[in-house]
Amino acid sequence: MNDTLDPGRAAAALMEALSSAFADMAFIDVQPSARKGPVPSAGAGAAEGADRTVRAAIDVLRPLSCRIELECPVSLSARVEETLFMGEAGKEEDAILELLNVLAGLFLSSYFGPGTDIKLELPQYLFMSGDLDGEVLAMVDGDAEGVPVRAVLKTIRYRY
Amino acid sequence: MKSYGRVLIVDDSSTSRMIIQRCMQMAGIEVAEYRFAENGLDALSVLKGGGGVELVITDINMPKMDGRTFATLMKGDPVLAGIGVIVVSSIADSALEAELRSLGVMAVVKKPISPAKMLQAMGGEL
Repeated sequence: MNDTLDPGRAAAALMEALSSAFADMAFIDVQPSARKGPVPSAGAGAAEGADRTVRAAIDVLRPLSCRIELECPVSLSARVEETLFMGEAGKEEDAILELLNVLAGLFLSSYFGPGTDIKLELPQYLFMSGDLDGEVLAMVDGDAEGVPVRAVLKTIRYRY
Repeated sequence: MKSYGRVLIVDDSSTSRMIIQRCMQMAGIEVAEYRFAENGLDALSVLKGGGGVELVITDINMPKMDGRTFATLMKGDPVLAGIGVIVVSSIADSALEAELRSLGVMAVVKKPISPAKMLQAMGGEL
């Protein structure tokens, strides 16, 4: 995949898709952020009530095999749900997955252009911490009206 | 003003099903009753169970049976072929639209959807 992907162009397309997905679905403005640290996470032993991190991923099967991940604090995920469900937050649990699905479609259309044959797996939440799942090809950090959000494009490392 | 008796929304994402329904309402499209299915297989069961569905709005990327297979089977069934189908998908583009339209799909809408996009898919304007 590295042979056919331009990391700079991929990062630009990823940032554009991140901004568009949040703006169009949840009316949240996401701007590029200079912050490069990890998205805040409670992690093991963190104080109760700390803003934990939500991680979700969607695997792309065509036109190239790769994975797109979305990472944000729970507070941002809750705000997306609140916007979508008009205050009935917690009613559904797949708002971030649907947002990631849209983000993936926007990114792939933008990077590969119209007419590209696209095939996606179903989006899923990631519950394991760490980076066990492939090489980072592009990563963008966004500022969602004061809350950090990150999108990552990775290779896929399948385990059998 | 568009109006339908029964509309079947097929999407594995409950969030997406809700967004589609809300966009229909915001577009002023009157629907007497919504029905829902999580994949193409369940949707076929709903349709074959009767109930007079007039319009199907379906996603593409779903477990068990995807929207492409569902639309193909539906349009190949003489009983179901006359029901209108609109495809809503994050991977929609001109190539997919051409393929699906050749099956008899009314319109293909790229996610994220909006009331204006839904109305346009049904031949109207906000």
